[in-house]
Amino acid sequence: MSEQITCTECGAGNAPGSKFCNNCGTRLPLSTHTICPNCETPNPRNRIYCDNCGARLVEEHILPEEKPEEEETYKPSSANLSFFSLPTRKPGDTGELAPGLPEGMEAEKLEALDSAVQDDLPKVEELTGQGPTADLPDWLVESNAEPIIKPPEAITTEHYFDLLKRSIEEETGEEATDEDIAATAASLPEWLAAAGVTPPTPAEEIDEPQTSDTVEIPDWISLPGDDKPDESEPDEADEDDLQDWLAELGPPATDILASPLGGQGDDADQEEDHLADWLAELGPPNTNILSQPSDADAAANLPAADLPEDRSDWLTDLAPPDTGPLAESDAATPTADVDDVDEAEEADNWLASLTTPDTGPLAEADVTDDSEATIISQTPFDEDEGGWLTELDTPDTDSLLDLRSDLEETLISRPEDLPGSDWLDDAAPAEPGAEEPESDWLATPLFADEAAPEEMADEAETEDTAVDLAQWFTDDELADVDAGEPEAAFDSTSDSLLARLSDFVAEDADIEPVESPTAADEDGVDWLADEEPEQPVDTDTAVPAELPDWLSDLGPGQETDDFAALNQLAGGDDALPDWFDEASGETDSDSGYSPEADLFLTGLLQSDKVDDASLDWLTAEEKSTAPELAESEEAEAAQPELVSAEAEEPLSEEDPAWLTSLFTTALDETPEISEPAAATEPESEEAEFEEAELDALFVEAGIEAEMEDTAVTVEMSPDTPSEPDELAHAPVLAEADDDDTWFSQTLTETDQPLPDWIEQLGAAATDEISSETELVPSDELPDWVADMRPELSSEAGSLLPRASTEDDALLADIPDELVGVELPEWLQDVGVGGDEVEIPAEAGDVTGWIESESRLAELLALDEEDAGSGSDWGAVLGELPPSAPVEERLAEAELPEWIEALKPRELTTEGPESEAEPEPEESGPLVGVRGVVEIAPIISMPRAMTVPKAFVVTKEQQQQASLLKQLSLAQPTPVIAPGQTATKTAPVLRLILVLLLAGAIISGLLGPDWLATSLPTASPAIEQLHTAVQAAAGQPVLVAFEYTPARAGELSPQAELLVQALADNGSQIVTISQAATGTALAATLTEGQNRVEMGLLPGEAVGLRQLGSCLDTTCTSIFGRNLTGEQQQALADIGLIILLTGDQDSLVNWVEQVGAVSGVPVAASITQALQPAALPYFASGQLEGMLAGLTDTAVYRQTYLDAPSEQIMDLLNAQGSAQMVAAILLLLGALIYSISATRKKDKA
Amino acid sequence: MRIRRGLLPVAIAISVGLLTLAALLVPLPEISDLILGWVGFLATIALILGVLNLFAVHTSRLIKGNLYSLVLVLSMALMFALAITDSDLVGLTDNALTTAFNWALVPLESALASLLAFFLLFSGFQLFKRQRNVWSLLFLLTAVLMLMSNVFTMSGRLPQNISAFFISLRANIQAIVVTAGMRGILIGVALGTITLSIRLLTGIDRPYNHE
Repeated sequence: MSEQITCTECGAGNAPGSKFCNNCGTRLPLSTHTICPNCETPNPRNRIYCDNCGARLVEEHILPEEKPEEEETYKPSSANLSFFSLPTRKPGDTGELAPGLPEGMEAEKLEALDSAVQDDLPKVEELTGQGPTADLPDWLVESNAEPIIKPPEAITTEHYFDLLKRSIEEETGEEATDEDIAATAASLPEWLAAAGVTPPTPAEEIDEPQTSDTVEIPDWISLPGDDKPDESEPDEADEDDLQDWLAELGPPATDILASPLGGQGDDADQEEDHLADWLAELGPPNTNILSQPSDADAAANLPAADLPEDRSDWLTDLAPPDTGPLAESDAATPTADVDDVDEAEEADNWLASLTTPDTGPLAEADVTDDSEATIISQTPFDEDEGGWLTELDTPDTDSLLDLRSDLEETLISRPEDLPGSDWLDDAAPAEPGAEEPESDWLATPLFADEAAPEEMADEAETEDTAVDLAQWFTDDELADVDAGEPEAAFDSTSDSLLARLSDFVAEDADIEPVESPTAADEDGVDWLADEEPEQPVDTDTAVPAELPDWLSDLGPGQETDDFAALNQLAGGDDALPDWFDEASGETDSDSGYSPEADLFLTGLLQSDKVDDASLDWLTAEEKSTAPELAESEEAEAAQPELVSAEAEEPLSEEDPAWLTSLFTTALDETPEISEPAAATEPESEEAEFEEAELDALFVEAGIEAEMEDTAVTVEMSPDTPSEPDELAHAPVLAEADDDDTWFSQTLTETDQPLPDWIEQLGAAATDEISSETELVPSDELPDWVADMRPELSSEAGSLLPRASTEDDALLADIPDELVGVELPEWLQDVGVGGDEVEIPAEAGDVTGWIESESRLAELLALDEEDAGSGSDWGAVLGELPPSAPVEERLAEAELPEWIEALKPRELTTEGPESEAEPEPEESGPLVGVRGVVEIAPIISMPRAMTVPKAFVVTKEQQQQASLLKQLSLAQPTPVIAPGQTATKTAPVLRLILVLLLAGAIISGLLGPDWLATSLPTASPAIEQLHTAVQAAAGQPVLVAFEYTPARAGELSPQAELLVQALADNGSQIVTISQAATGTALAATLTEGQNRVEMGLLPGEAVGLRQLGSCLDTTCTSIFGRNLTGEQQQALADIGLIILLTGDQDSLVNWVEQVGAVSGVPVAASITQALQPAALPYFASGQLEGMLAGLTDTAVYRQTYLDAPSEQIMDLLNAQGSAQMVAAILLLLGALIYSISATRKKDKA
Repeated sequence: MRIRRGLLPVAIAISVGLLTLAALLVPLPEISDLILGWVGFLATIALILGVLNLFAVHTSRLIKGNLYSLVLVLSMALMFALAITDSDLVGLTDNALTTAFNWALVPLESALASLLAFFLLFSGFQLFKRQRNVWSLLFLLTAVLMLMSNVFTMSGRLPQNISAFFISLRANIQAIVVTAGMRGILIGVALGTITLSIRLLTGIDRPYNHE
């Protein structure tokens, strides 16, 4: 039976299949029946199995089997649609759309289930008491947040110009010159031209942009080399107008190296939020080694607001002392307020002093150099970026250098073609006398006529990439200088730079040490204000007032940016651009050490042109990391003076802290030196050593004379060991063929006591270089750990972070059990810094190393117990609550197979299932859209007709059929009640009854009249009958004999009585009857009387009707039979009708059809059984009298005639006897059966 | 135009019925006599046809060896023959048909009617064997009371008052209970007759047509 659909609104029941409620019209839910696919029986939709046949109604969703790769093609109608297609139903199925999954398999439930399963699994922390990666080095764990290596995604301008050059050469067949390239590039769009790659423009056009609005040019592009310094468009608008690729090149790009430093603190925090807890607990990724030395720099570069509040302690410890002041004075510094026009102007000044504001000449000279200069000037200042620089710059240093060499040749050959530029003049120090010596070292590699570029080329060839970097850097300056007045510009530039460096070095003496950040906060502003470079500022070349954030951070006077710039040059920051790392990838290690930076320093120190001012500038740049530095233009303009004034002041002991960080940041990029943050108060010996080394450096570079001022500065800061070290190491770096061994060589050469921080570095860095000093040999480490160990000579390895001493200690703590143990694949990916952290496919996979760790913990706990006070391990493990064995707990955590089967392929070792790209839609509104689900037919297809099975009759069925036939044809047998003997009792009882009744009748007839001794008096009916008979005296009386011989025994006596009475009254008896036998009886009973026989009257009521009509009038015929004259006369004179009948119909017809029509009185002589039917007619007067039964006959005879005859009395006696016996038998029978039934009940 | 089959009998039945009804309501003896003459004629023909059909059926059964059919066929033939011999045309016998009727038919019908008393007594005796309920008890008491009252009314051996009580009790039962019952039955029959007449006149019931 189908169930009704109950309306949800009114609750009314509706027929199955109804769509709307019959009562309220509300749409009913879909059909509640699911057609069984097996027997087609409709089942309620909540059924899983068919009610009829038990077949499953809901399809089981089994994960598709793995298909071979060659079969993994897109099949829109089958496999691929199973995941994305709409639910379908079978043809003819009116049930609800089949759910894609069983209820228990829905996504939410699965998630809940997964979470429940995960909850059931023991947590790693519970098992080990530590984080799941506690045994891993921090740098390995923390590398999860961001990938270490980001491939460049944008084509650099070098590529572009290379293409231009090639295209020109193909067209002209000649070697393309820079002019040709510039001319071709002149067709560049404005935005590209504004990016610093604009072709050379006429001089008059150069001036115009200075006052024009460079709305379309992003600040970060136009600012460093743009010739439109008066750009005033808001940076927001500029950023909005950025092209995509420019936007990618811009500040928003991220760098993994910068992320832990706070530059992307917010992002990092957000990313950490998305990380698992255990991953988040691991701290910043992959930066423990690399970032520690650079954190200080990065933190110094960061606005305080950007610094992550929850940064790790190591980061806080490594933060430079000036970070606090920076944070406090953040709002007041131009770093934080990018919209400040003054600050922008300061940035302009700063840019004027640091780099070239005039891009046009640079572009004319060498767009490549210009871009590089832009990079150099931008990179250090943008702590939020780094990656964009990677994208911007080409990793191919060779091509860059080649192009630079070409340009260099061009510049050397035609220096006059370069447009002039005043920026170098603007950046020049106030003392014109310092120009000559300052610019020598920079000019050396740039000018062929002065410094013999051949030598530079030779150096580039012999000194490998390190020399190339130095050349490259100098090429920036070269380009700038070439653009205008080469010599003067370069002199001024170098002077400016060196002067600022000197200033910063000199001012470092006032900086608070690292260990006292609070003091630094207090004193930071002072020394910052004091050390502001006092360089003349050319307001004409000022950059636009409104700068983007990142560029504002680069603004002049922001010593943090300057510091970052220098830091960037030193290559010791995490924010170091990747291109910078990649450029040195061949020679550097994993820490991102930039040999270019070293070479830059090398070149800087080797340059004959380097003077004190240059070193001061460099020092000032380093020192500019202090955020407390004032940003006033006056301070910047007065920088040379300030440097000179403060040059004599010795550096304080605390001052070198940040500088130490700075320097060690530079060194940090080399794997050998990565822990400078721990540098404390250096000893005087170390200062001397550093000074000596610096001297040696300058001696080797041939710039001893020029470095005197710097040396003085160094001497004035005997407590700043890092700065001399840095400078001292620079030539070593330059000379070292293998950058990885330079430090060790240096140590060997110097053979002097090293400061603590260097010793610390030595333990961590130098040991990593040489395999023999590794804490854990690579061959003993697991492969994944060994793989993560930076490759000393590989480019990728150069970008990998280096393990610090702490990490090495961690590695050293790795038990032997873990050595060589394969980590799960997902963890390996984590360690490498993959983009995705995969969840362990199986719990068992996770347990490998955890189990080892837990075992180790147990062992350590035991050791601790034995030793009393154990190590940290013991302390940690001692706090752990006792727990069940790990093996047991992990065993419980095994996932069921079905859950494993549900796990996405991406999380399994099988890897994601490759899906072929679906074909796009070719027609319809979804043209071009891929993966369109096929349209299901609206009308369900007709059900396939199934051929009925052939009817096969088995032998068993045939036997059953024959048996059924026999039973159906068999004679019915009487049903005999249980316990009855019907066949025996019934005939006997029947015979007994017959005998008793017959005996009573016979005894009554033949026996004495013992019963009928007296007769009752005549009843009114009898009296009225007698009256009627008397009233009809002398008239013909129609006597109807309407009874058969069967009633003759009761009615014949009455007939005889009435005939006698009529005869006594002299009435003629007219006999008539509608029964054949009645006529015979009439003839018999009226024989000898005055009678008229009317014979048989057929036609029932119709005949009687016709007879009645004839009684009123004279009829010649009745019912087609002609009447004789006597008959007609008799009928016409009939005075009474006496009806002798025992039949009710006859009584009714005579009364209603004859008596009522003719009006002749009717009297009835009936049987006693018919008396009840005659009484109503008698009561109504339709019967004049009535005589019923033998009793009335005897009474009538006794009352109105003579005494009843003996025959009547015998009949009455026999009748009475029979009636008494019958009554007794009825009572007896009722009593017997009642008792028997009661007994049966009692027995039951 | 072809008259639909079955429509003619219906039309004849309705028209004749309406005519008969009109003859009863309106004093038109000629029409009523004519209609009654047709009815008599048809009834006689039907009786003859019935006798012939009965003779033919049992003759066929006589051929198959059915002895009861032989008795029936012989009795029919004998009575038909006696009627012919008693007729004035033949005059071979005198009142032979009445003699045969009185000696054969009357005892047979009386004997057959007397069997009803035995059947009723046997059924009444086993009344409580099958159904033991109130209605059975009521039937039993009524039957016993009516039987015994007849006995007591004829018997002078009982006290007069007791006999009078039973006589009055019997009279009241017949006058009230039995008469009321019979009147109800008669009224029901009358209503049924009217309804059937209307249905016949309107052609709703067509017993003459088996379609």
